[in-house]
Formats: sequence, structure tokens, C-alpha cells
Amino acid sequence: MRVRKTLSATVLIATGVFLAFTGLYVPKEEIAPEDLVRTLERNENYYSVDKVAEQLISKDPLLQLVDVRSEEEYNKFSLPGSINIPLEKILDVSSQDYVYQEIYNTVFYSNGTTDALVALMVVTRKGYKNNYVMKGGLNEWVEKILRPKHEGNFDITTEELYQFRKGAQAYFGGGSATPVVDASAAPKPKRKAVKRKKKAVSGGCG
Amino acid sequence: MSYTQQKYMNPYVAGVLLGLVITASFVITGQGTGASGAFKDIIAAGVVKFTPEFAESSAFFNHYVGAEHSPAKAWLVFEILGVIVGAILSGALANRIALKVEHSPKITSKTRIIMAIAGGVLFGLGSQLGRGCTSGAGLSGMAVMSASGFIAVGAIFGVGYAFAWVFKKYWV
Amino acid sequence: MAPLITPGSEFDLMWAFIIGIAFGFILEAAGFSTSRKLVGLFYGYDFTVLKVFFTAAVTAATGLLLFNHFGIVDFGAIYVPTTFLWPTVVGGSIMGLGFLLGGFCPGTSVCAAAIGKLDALAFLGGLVLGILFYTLTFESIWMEFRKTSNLGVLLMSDVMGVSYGVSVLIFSIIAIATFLLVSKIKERIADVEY
Repeated sequence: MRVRKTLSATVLIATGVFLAFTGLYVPKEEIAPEDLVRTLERNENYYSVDKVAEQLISKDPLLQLVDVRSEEEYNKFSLPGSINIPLEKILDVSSQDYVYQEIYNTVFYSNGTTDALVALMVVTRKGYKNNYVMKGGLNEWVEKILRPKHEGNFDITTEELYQFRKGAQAYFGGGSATPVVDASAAPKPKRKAVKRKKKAVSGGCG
Repeated sequence: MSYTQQKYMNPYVAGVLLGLVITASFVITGQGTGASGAFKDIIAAGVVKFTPEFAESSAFFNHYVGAEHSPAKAWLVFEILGVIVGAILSGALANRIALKVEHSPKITSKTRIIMAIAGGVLFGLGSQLGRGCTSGAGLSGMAVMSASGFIAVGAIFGVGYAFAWVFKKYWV
Repeated sequence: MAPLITPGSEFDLMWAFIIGIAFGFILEAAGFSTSRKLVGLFYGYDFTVLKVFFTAAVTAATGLLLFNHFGIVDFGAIYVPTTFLWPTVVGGSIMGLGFLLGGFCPGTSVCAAAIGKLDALAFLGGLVLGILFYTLTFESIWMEFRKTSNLGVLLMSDVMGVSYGVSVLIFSIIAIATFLLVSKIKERIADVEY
């Protein structure tokens, strides 16, 4: 009984300490910068590397990958079908076909998550929709897709995930596996007709 | 004490469960639980129904006129109906349902009833002035860390302790 | 986003009923339908009320903060009472006396009356009389006083000058310290048969 009470008290205090030092969640009508960051932490703004890989393999016509790293880094390595918009050019007129549109799902990626998230933050602040971030960036892509490891538990989901990643590894030519599809088969960067909203987006998110 | 009576729930377990109910109430409906408000609403509805002229002339009742069916007011009444059902369920499961007047062996049932009525009158008065009773103002107020809730609870228990010695012979 | 339902929606009253059932069940199961158990806290022979009450408040405060942390509860959308300092102090004091005399508070008296306690039924009768007395003397005695010392929506965090989360943490620590204290007191006081 004593042990249980001590344990309960400890759990309560630990939760209290954790909550005491995390900020309050306060939703607002207007997108204030600090709330924007919280909005961006929501899961629905992210694409996992697995989802990106799956859509690339199935040649999902709505997927548009945008590499926000420098041109140099992009030329060294990039995901198939991606285009390069360095972070500082994200709001340029030439970029608007990709970030300010209503048809495609634009997924930003960088080496990690941060730069892509900055890109998403900037365009979200502008009120542009349909933009996402590939969580973990290329680091996670290499780790999970190009060098997949079995995650240990032999339940059906991890097994399927592993098999999928093995397949994806082969598809994208990672590790020691022989690519079953050569590089030319991977989707090419696409230039597409973009239906853009003519009216400027009014403030606030729906 | 009836021999078939079950033991009471562990107070800490009951407290956690009660806390979860209050949390659920806030999450689902945006408000906490309450009790005294229900009686005020029932009384107000009764006064408005039976003496409409008086109700209209009264500063207290006039805003109840025409608002008898306001959903916010019915909410607490339904909650109290639920409390009755919940208490009967628990009492039935633990074999605690029985008609009786509970009192210290040193006082008579009559004394106890008079004390209970007097206590009720005071609680009725105090809860209106303090904008809620132990559960509404106190518990729900504390749940949202409102100063009002802490002040109310501090006053209720503070006065309780300060004057406990006066009434000791009636309880112990 | 909480609240999940808006007042007046079709499931509103159903939820009121369900929450009431849970509320009543727990109060009764914890022993709140026994006036001598409730009053025990003032004489040190039974601290059930204090334990249940503060555990519930701490659980709810922490729970709401946790829901807020995950973006489910918006503190802007839930009801936080306005603080009227002196009306609350006076009202609370009157309630304290009422508790000491009557042995119940309104919620617990409903539970007790539901399982057949006649003293609780008498308390409820008194409660109705008290509210009636208040309403009838509202204009002449209470109306002005009730509006005084309005401090607005005041939170404990504002009073203590700390963040909301820290105020909940302090509350939890005080509650646990109180539990330890009352268990020490309980050891020194003889049991009372009831």
C-alpha cells in the first residue's frame, strides 16, 4: 500500500514537473509566430519517409517533392522527381507554381527536418496551403529507406514495414542491393500546369 | 451497522476517479460539475411558474422570466438527476440503502434533523453568495486553478475548523 | 477541440445525466453519503473528505493541463469563474458553518438522500429554504454586496506570480504534503464508531 502511494505521488509530481515546464497551448484566430510553430508541430503537416517512398514508387501524380537545400547539395544527391528551391528563394515568383497552388501536395525536404520546416512556416504564414514536410529529411531517408534495418518486433506491421522498406531500398538503389529499376525509370522532375488562386489569401487559417 | 454493508472505496482511488469525471466534464461540455445551482434553477423555475407577477418585479427572478427552458439551466438539473441515479446504484451494490437518521449516540434524531435543516439553510444562503457550493465553486474552480475556487474552499474548511469545537458534542 | 459539445445541442443533457451518474456513484462509493464521515475531518477521526476532495482537484487540474498539452483542451473555451473576493469569503464562511451544522454539502446530501438518509433529506429541505430566503432578500441585502471586490477571472498562477503549469505543480506538492500530514494526525486520534 505504501509503495503504491509513493509511486502514485511520484507519477503525479513527475507529470506536474513535465507540464510545469512546457508551454500552454493557446489557439488563436490570427497566426501569431509562436503559435505557428505549434501548428507546425502537428502531425498532419508531415509526410513520413515511408509515405514519400510509397508515393514515389506508385508514381502518385499529386506528389511534388521540393528540395530546399542549396543547389550544390541538390546536384550531389536528391530524391527522384524533386525540384530544387533553395530556402531563400521559397517566396520568389518563380517558386509560386509549387508552393502557392491547390492541386499538388508539395513536400519540402532538407537534410534534417529544420530547414524544410522553416520553408513550411514561411509559406504557411503567407496562407499557402497543401505544403508538407518530410519528417527527418534525407538523413532519415538514408537510414530508413536506403539502409533499412529490421525493427526487432516480429509483429505483422513491423514485418510489413520492413519488407516495404527492403523493396523501397531496392527501388531507390540503396545499400548493396542491385537496383531492379535503373535510375531513368524514376520519375523525372515535372513541370506542370498550375491552377493558381487569383485572389490573395486573406489572413487567418480556416 | 448492517453486517452486509460493503467497505467504502479507497479515498485516493475515489479522488482520482472523481477528478477524471470532472476533467471529462470540462472536456466534453466546457464546464465542471455543480450541485447548488440545480436547486436555484428549480426554485427559480417554480417561482416564475407559480407567481409570475412577483417574479417580474423581483430583481433576482426577472432574468429567469422567459428563460425557464434555457438549456444551460436544465443542464445542472439533469446532472443532479444523474447524481441521484448514480448514488442509488452505488448504494444498492454496497447494500447501503436504508431509511435512517444518522447521528451521534449523544444526540437525538430530532436534534440531528434540526441541525441538518439549519445547516441546509446556511449552505443554501452561502452557496448563492459564494457563487456555487463545494463541488461547483470549490472543486470545479480548483480544477481550473481559479482563485475563486481556492478562496471558497479555504473559507469553507477554515471556518469549519475554526468553529469545530463549538459543535463537537453533536458529532463525536 | 474541447468542449466537444455546445450547450443546447441534442446530446448536451444526455451528457449532463451521464456525468451526474458517475459523479453520484463515486461520491456515494467514497462514503460521502455519511454525514459523520464527512464531518470527521474537522475532528481528526476521518480525513476521507479531504483526501478525496484534494485528490480529485489535483487530478482534474493535472488532467486538464495534460489535455491542453496535447491540444485537446483550449483554456479559453472552458468556464473559469470570475473571482469576487469578499462575497466568496463571506459565502464560503457561511457554507463552512452550514457544513459543520448540517454535516453535508449540497452534492453529498443528494447522494445521501438517494440512499435513504433522512437527515440528508432534511438538509435538502433546509437548502431550498436557504436559497428561497436569499432570493427573497436579494434586493434588500445581497444585490450590492454580491457585486463588490470583482477581481475578474483570476488564476492562482496570477496570484502566485508563476506560470500556470508551475501553479498546478505547487498545488500537487501541497496536496501530497497535506495527505502525509493528515495521516500523521489520524494516528494520534482515537477512532470514532459510526
